[in-house]
Amino acid sequence: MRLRGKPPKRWALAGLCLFSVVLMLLPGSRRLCHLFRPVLVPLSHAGQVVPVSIRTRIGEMTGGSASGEDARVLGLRRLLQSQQEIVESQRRKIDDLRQWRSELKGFRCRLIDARVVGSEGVPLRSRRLLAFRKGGNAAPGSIVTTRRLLHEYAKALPEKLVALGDSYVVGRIIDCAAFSATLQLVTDPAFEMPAALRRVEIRKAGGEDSGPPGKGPVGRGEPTSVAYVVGPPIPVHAQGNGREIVLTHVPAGHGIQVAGKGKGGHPGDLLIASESTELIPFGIRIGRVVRTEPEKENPHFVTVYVEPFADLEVLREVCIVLPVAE
Amino acid sequence: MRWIYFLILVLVAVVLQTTVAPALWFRAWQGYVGPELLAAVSVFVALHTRSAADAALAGWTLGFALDLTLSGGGMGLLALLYAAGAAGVFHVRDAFFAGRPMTQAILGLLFCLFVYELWTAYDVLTVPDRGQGWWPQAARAAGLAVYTAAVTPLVCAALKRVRRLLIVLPAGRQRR
Repeated sequence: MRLRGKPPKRWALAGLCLFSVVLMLLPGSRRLCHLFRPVLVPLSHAGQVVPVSIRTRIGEMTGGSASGEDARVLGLRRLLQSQQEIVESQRRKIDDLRQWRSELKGFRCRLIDARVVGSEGVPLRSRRLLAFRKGGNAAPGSIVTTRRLLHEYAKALPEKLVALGDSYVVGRIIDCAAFSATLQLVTDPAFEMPAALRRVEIRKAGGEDSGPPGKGPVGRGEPTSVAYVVGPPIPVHAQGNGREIVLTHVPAGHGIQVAGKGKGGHPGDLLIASESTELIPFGIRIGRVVRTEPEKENPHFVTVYVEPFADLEVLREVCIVLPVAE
Repeated sequence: MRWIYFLILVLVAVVLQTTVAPALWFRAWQGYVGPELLAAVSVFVALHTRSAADAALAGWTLGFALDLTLSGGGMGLLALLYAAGAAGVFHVRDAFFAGRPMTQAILGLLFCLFVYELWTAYDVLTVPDRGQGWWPQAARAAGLAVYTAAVTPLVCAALKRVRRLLIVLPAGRQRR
């Protein structure tokens, strides 16, 4: 195939192709991307508002808004709602700090606020571009947890969510530059992490059987029953498969419970961060079990599929956990 | 080719691809499938530019810009594949009616299949085994190609309005 064109253009093309080949062969050539982040990040930050707003409005419209209400009443209600959300956000901030203090207890780390500003250009990988404030310094491998992830959906948070806390693991940093980083989501096929499964049992609330000492309720299956975490953690290895988190080679004898559909169903066993990782404390939640499949090679083991708690499609505000050396 | 305007178009396309385009993704069997706007832009430029070198240079620029938004290994491969794909579209365009949406869709499909099947093959060969194999990635790349093929006529129709800003036409010729 002969390329016709002026000689300088052909030479320029040849030079650029040679440059591409050199980049492919050079290790660490990806750092070249960091030079362009100061341009891309602010534009992506502004552009990201559009799809998130659209999703928010679609969610509100399909969320069952009452028909036939007076438009003026709706407007006043929205104004009141926005005022309440401002007060709520301040209250949540205080609660989050209290929550993190109790969850992290003793784990020395810095929390770096970050905001999702865009995705990678190609949807074949589950990765997001992050920007964080001046002074933040995340490293590849740092675990990212969410904070007010469902900011626009605060009112629509379903009550069936396990009530251990407000923050879940959503991924880890794999590439860093000044003020920006790439987040690999927990559903990315390349994501893997040691984790632990916790069995959840439904028991009647109150009375003599109010749960084992030190293991409080984790949620409510029915109005008169409470879900409790029971038994020792089951060590597993979590990997993404593009849609969910997959745990392979889990002994079938553990009797893993999947999340039931409908009100009052079993909330599903929990996937939490394992104590074998030093990047976050033990017990930070990742997701819940949605189905299991027996392995064909050995029926004594099952493959467990876990759905992340965080809504990764509208991921916006996240929090990077940076361990601090003693 | 007016390169200043083209570079502005590349920047706008990259921002749209990384921010607005994810709103068009949908969840498929093995992950998300979405359109590739830069591929559609590359097909448009290859269909209307005057020389193969211009088409290849424009393709390389689009591929490199997209590569800058990615992470992991293989930096530079996407630029090479885009340049080769754009040159290929330029050389086969005489066999088609460039203004027809079906032509644009087919060329968009072939372009994406060429670029992303090779790109995923490189990814699978060079990255340690994730336990998935090549074919799930290839299926998602094919899904991306089909989705982009559907979007390409729309992108071409939008860019046709600004074609004069991008491509210098010879005097006396209003359209190709």
